[in-house]
This record gives sequence, C-alpha cells and structure tokens, in this order.
Amino acid sequence: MNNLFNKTIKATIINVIVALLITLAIIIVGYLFFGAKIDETISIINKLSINSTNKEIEKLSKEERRKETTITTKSIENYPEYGTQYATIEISEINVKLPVYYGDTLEVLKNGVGHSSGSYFPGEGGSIVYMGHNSKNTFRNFSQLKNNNKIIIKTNYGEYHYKIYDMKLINETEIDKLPIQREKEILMIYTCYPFNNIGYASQRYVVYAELEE
Amino acid sequence: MKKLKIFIEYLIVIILTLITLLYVSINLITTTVLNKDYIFKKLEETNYYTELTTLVASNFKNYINQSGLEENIFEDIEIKNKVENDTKIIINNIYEEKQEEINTEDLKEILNKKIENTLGAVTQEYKQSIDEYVKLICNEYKHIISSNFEIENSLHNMYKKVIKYIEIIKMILVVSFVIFIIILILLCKEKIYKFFVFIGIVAMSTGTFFIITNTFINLNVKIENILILNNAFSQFVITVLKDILINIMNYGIILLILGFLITIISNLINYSKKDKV
Repeated sequence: MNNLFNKTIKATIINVIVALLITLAIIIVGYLFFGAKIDETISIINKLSINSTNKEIEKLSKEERRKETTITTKSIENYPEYGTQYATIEISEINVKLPVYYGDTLEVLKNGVGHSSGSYFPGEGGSIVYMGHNSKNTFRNFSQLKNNNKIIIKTNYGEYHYKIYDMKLINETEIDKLPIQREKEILMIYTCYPFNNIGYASQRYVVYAELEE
Repeated sequence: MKKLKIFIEYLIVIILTLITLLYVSINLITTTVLNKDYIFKKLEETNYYTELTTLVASNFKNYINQSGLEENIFEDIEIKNKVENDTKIIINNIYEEKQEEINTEDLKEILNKKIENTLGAVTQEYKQSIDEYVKLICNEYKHIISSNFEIENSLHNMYKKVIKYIEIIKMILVVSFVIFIIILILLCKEKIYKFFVFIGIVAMSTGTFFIITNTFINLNVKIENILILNNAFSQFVITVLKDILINIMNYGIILLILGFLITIISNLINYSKKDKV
C-alpha cells in the first residue's frame, strides 16, 4: 500500500514538473514572439493610470506651486500649471477682486477669471488675454469702466498696474481684435455682451489696458 | 520508434494546451467585453448612469454663469432616465445593427420649460438667444453622453469583424481539439491511463499559465489607477478589467486542481492495477 502511494506520488510529481515545463516553454516562446507588443500594451495602460508621482504632485498645495513661479528679465520661469490660480485681478471702480487662473475652459471660468493659454503673462512684455463671465460676481459692470481706470494684477512674482485706454465691442469670431504680440505689454479683458443677456451671447466686450511704467 | 511516439505524444499535449488556452481566452472575451448584456450589467453595477448624470449636470453649470440665469436654475432637472436610455442607445449601436441617433428634443423641452418657469414671458429677442443657449447645452449633453463611446461606428464595425472571426476560430479550435484527442487516444490505446495523465498535464499547464498571467498583469499594470476620459468611464473600465482578471484566476485554479486530480487518480489506478497483477 505504501509502495503504491509512493509510486503514485512520484509519478504525479513528474507529471506536475512536465506541466510546469510546458507552461514555461509556452511563456518563453510567447514572449519571444509577442514580448514587444506585451510591453507596449502595458506601457500604454500604465500611461492611462495616475501614477504615484502625479498623486504626490496633487498633494502639493496650490500655494506651494504658485511660489515656484518666478520672473527673470521678461521671461517667466516655472509657468503655473494649467487650471491653477496664479494671480488676482483688482478693478476698484467696479468692485472687482477676483482670482486669475491659467486656462480658459468653462470649468476654470466657473471659479474666476481665465488666462488664455496662448497669450503672455504679466511682466513678459506681450499681449495678455483674460476673460470672465458677465455674471453679477464677475464682469457684469464692465460698462461702468472708463479710460484711465486702473487694473491691478497681483502675482507671486510681482504686482502690475495697467491703465485702460480703449474699449471695444466685437463679435465672438473676431479674434484679430485680440492680437497676440510681444512688442508692448497690453492687457485685454473680455466678457460676454450684452452684460445682462439671457441665454447665449455672440458678442464680446473687450477692455484694453496698457502697463504703467 | 518509441522515442518518436513519445515525442508525438508530448507535441500533442503542447498543442492541446495551446488550443485550451485559446478557447478559454476567447470564451472569456465573448462572455465579457463582447457581450452586450454583460456591459449593461457592469454599467449598472458601477453606477455609471448616476455618475454620468452628475457629470452632465456639472457641465450644464459651466454654461450658467454667462447666461444671466440664476445659478440654481438646472439644479433639480431630472435627466437620469434620459442619460440611461441614451447610453443604452449608444451601446446598442455598437453591438447591434441599429444606428439610432440621440434625440435631444425632450431635453430641449425640459430646459425651455425650466427657463420659462423662472423668467416668465420673454421678448422675441431673448427667445432667440435662449434657443441658441439651449441648443448649445443640448450639444454639450450629446458630446458628454457619446464621448465615452465616441468611436461607436468603428467599434461596431470592429465588433462585427471580431464576432465573425471568433466564431470561425472557435469552430476550428473545437474540431482540432477533437482530432488531437482522437490521435492521443489511438497512441495510448494500450495504456489508456496515459491518455488521462496527458489530459491532466494539459489542464495543469493551462491552469498554471492563467495563474502566471494573472500574477504578471497584477504586478505590472496599475489597473486601480486607470483614468480614461472621466470618473464614470474609468470606474467602468477598471471593474471590467478586474472582473476579467478574477475570471482568469478562477479558470486557472479550477484547471490546475482538476488537472492535478485527474493525474493523481490516473496514476493511482494504473499502479493499483500493476500491483494486483
């Protein structure tokens, strides 16, 4: 009986080893043929994952990130991350004091003033394009602004004072009225028009201001 | 001659292992991602419709600030059923021949009614502006609902092709499996226990392969952290992938145990017969 048991166990162990060898052979051959594709697929899936580094970055407070932005001779080092606040805008004539976010999505505009990602930053010496809703809490009272009114932009790398010199009403498609250049620092802020519109507004009210030396 | 016979026997075992691996894998795919009912079940399980409704409502809010309407105007609109029905239309478009369009007329009606109730009578000028605004929101709704399955037409064509080929492959696999089993029986007709031992080895190899595959994927792919498009869709993808991995592991364990039992019983019967002789 003991002998029978021993023989059975011995034979079964050999069979298990054979099974493992077959698996190993299939894996090795499979990897030789499809290894590159497998690695590529894993890499693609992992790119879709929020890795631990990203999570750690998210943990960094916005304040800490803002401190990283610095300016050296008309060029910003460490630009703010898209969707983060990097400044505040103050227009005392219409009681506006709002956060400015880098980005121009509706999600960003829900929180304050947006900065068009294609334009320059304050202090860089070019066109700066800001936009905000015409809601009560944002730019509803733009009509009260006049030439020579002041706009103050406070960033962690400096404070910038602008003087309004023009106001225009444009159609939403007239992007040439918001020219991007780097010869002169111009701040352009626009909002939807009419200010008390209900529904979809196809016109934009633009305020142009120049940097005060 | 004996050596050649052994070589052929093991070659057939390897071929049978590959056939089993392919068949189980194909079966796993056809019962999960290629199965419309499974997709609906998983969408339900992951609260996809509720999550998507929250996303839709949140995106509607993005359009309120510039509209001059009160912030809470769309807060209590009931669109969960519409989100669910429209998602089902898209899924049906992928898995069936139907090519139904998402209709936003009912949503337009709900939004217009809500705006009218809040504002009362409006002038013709405002009416035009409101219509434009509602149209914009409806387009946004369509975009959110379909963005997760944006390539629904190409997915439908791909599904048709895959299903067609999978059926042919399955048929080929079954026929080959039967042929190789018959050859193996003929080769082992004098020692039929050997046939069962070989079957046990096939089951154990397949089982081990699935267990190793599962472990490899779990170690190398961060499934839990996958983020595609939005939370609703990501959660759905994560759940489906996790479910497939659990199935792979289950198949692996079952085949390994089954193979081990077949092998040990076959060996036991063989040696007990020899002992009696």
